[in-house]
Amino acid sequence: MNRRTLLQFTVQGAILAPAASLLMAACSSVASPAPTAAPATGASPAASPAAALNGTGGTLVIGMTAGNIPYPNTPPNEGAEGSRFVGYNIYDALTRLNVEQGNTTPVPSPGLAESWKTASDNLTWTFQLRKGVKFHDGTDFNADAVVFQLNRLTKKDFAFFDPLQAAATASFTMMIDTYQAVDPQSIQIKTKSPYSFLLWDLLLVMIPSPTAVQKYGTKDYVNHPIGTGPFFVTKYVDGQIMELAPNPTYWRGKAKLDKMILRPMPDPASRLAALQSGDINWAEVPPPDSLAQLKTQGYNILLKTYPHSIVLDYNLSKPPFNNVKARVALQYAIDRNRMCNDLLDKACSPAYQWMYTGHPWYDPTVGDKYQYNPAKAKQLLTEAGYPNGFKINVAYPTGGSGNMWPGPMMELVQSNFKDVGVTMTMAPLEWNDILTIYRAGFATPENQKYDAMYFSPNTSTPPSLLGFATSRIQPNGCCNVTGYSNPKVDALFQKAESEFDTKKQDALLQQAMGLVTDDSPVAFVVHDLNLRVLSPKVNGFIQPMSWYCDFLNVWVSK
Amino acid sequence: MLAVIGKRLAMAVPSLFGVSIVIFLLLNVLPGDPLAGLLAPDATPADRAALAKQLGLDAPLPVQYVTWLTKLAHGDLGQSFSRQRPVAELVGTAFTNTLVLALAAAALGLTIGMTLGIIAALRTGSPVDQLISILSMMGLSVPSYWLAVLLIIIFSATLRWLPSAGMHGINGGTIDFLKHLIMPAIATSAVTVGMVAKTTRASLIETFGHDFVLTLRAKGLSGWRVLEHVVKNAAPPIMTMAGLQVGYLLGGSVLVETIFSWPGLGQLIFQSIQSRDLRVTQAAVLVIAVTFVLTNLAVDILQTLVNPRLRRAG
Repeated sequence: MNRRTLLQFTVQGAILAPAASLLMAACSSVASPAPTAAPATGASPAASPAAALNGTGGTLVIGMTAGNIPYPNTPPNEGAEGSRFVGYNIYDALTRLNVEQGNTTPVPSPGLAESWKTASDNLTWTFQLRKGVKFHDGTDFNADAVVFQLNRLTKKDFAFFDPLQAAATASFTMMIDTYQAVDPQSIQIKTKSPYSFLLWDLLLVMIPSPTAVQKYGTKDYVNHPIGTGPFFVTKYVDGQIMELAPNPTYWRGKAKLDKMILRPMPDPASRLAALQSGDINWAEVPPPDSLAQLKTQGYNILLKTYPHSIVLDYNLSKPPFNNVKARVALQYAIDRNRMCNDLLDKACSPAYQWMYTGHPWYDPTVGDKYQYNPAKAKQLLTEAGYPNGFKINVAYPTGGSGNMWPGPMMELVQSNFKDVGVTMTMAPLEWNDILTIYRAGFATPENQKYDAMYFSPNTSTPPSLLGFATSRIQPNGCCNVTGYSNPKVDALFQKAESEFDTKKQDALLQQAMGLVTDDSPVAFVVHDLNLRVLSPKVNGFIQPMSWYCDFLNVWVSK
Repeated sequence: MLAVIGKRLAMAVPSLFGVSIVIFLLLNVLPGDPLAGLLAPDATPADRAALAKQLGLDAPLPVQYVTWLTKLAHGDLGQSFSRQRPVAELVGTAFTNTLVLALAAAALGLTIGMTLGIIAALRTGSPVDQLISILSMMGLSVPSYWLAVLLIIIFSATLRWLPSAGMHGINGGTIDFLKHLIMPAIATSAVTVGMVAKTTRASLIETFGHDFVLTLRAKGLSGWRVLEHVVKNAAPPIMTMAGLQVGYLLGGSVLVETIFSWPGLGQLIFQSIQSRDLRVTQAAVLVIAVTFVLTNLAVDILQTLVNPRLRRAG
């Protein structure tokens, strides 16, 4: 072969190589398993008449805000969104939230435990387990399975101890002292002190099949998840897709769907486009300014009050926010109605307390007193010793599931504060950094540069209120990021923790939160309304007053 | 030739070391905590310390680095604790997905870029040349994420011709895959089109001015045959640019991959930095560095084949 021929060959090869590899890659992609069920429906939002309410079947395709598929462990990652779409579909816990209804705030209800009672010492709980429940692999659910999981989460010397799962559930197991199987259908759990919040904690102790964990081991279990839940995994490709099929023997009844598909779509514009093009029929949190358009196109916009707020956590360890008058002053400076009505197209409701109006822990005697009133804000600032306002540095996340739209919301707050003489510098941080500050607290040297921080607390459980307890100030506990300490509030929390009558407990928590509202260790901004948009072909879904969902009665028409 | 290749690869090793040290230091210097996303909402500092110990993250930094390096020498990239699967598996899959996208974007970018560049060089000064200059500038200037969203709005949301995200659809198959590939490839290739078109045009115009072209024309060669010679001589800078572009494309485009939910290396690195997952970030960046080195080496070898003068000098 001479030089000329070699050269021709090489150049032709260099041109053909990309084309050939493209073709090869395309052909190799055929090797990836192609699902066989019906395609996602819900493309064109035809105004179908009130279809038979008792339909079944169809494929639900969900576009999540998560950047990746939550791995199907107990619990999944990707935060609460992981539990919502993966955790509670594959697994059950001893207690569950009654999220199949949308009229009342869900509370811990019978899950894998049918009933429970506490002994007179208020330490020993006996749970009667549901009979006849089987894991997806056919093995029996029983007391041993619960003990196995608790060992997996708390006993370092247990053969199948999982340090990552243990860390992820540490908050929920920390009050458990001992546990044992009394008989196959009942388990006894003893707490370290009288702790009426246990039922809330147990919501997040999901139960996997011990057989599966033992068979696949800690490292490989996540590729073979087995629970007792309404769905089981049929396909799971990290970074791409998870497909779930209904569990035919689920103890609450078989789900109506033929299939559920989860897709990670971290970009809101992509989620919107995917919904409009029919690639998905359930879009989490589309951009709020698309709601008007989606409505005219016939999509179902879902909004519902639920316990989830947006606040500014204040740094109480230094001026200006060590001054309660300064903190209260700024409560009157935020134009919450404008934020919800103008900025966010009604995708939020104004927050005047930690809890929304009407919730059992919302204090009606304190009420919605922090109405927008810049004049009053200025007056209170003067009384606080800041007639000319002050400068503050506020951190906020640039993303993160459940955080609503921090950038634009912060800009509105910044302009509101400017109107009353407070100059707010905004410090954008990654969600990871925000969480790190949250866990370390403001009082540490590296966090002192922040006067406040945008945060989106889950406010749905009594333990979630304990961020206002002195005992949770870092490093002795976690996570009282503000450093707030009020002995009256502490006393009320302690009483509530050992109060086993729910109504009395609610009253104590209500009182505590009323005091917190007066002290304003945080600025109340808005309550999230859990925005999601569904194709009109998705039926049967009831948006609960909760972050979590029930998919049992959802079906998708053709 | 083999000696040259061996020498080049050996020279790359210190750079790779340097890259791995820089990544290690950067990720440990950044604020934030690799364990932040793994802990329960109200996990105490004691809980965190226990997990850090379990994962070996409580050791001093130099010890952690040496441990990682030792395992790497044995081919063990470790386990990702933010994704609970082997790093090798994650990086391997992500790299393959990016490779597909990069090759598609390269094919588009190089073909269109070179064609436009050749046309512009043959019609220097004409309206066609000016139009191509404008297109090249647009390719270079238009942000890829803007182009990506625009493509989705037009072809997915409005016309419904193409899917908006992902690598595969519900039904799977080759046509379905190509439909998923085309928009990300276009969005990613825009810069390549611009760079290659400009470089091709400039190099060809410069080569057309050489004496040998006059000689060939005087000898009576046809336009196409003259062009063939000119292209051969103009090739080196074009190939260098093409090689750099392919290397850059293989690094993955975070923006395009995120918008299209394309599970490639760019998105993997972005997410692993967000979660401070050091092992995944290290492995992924090293893969990119190695790929870059190999791509440039391949281009240099190709240069020597195309241009015999380099061979005698090398």
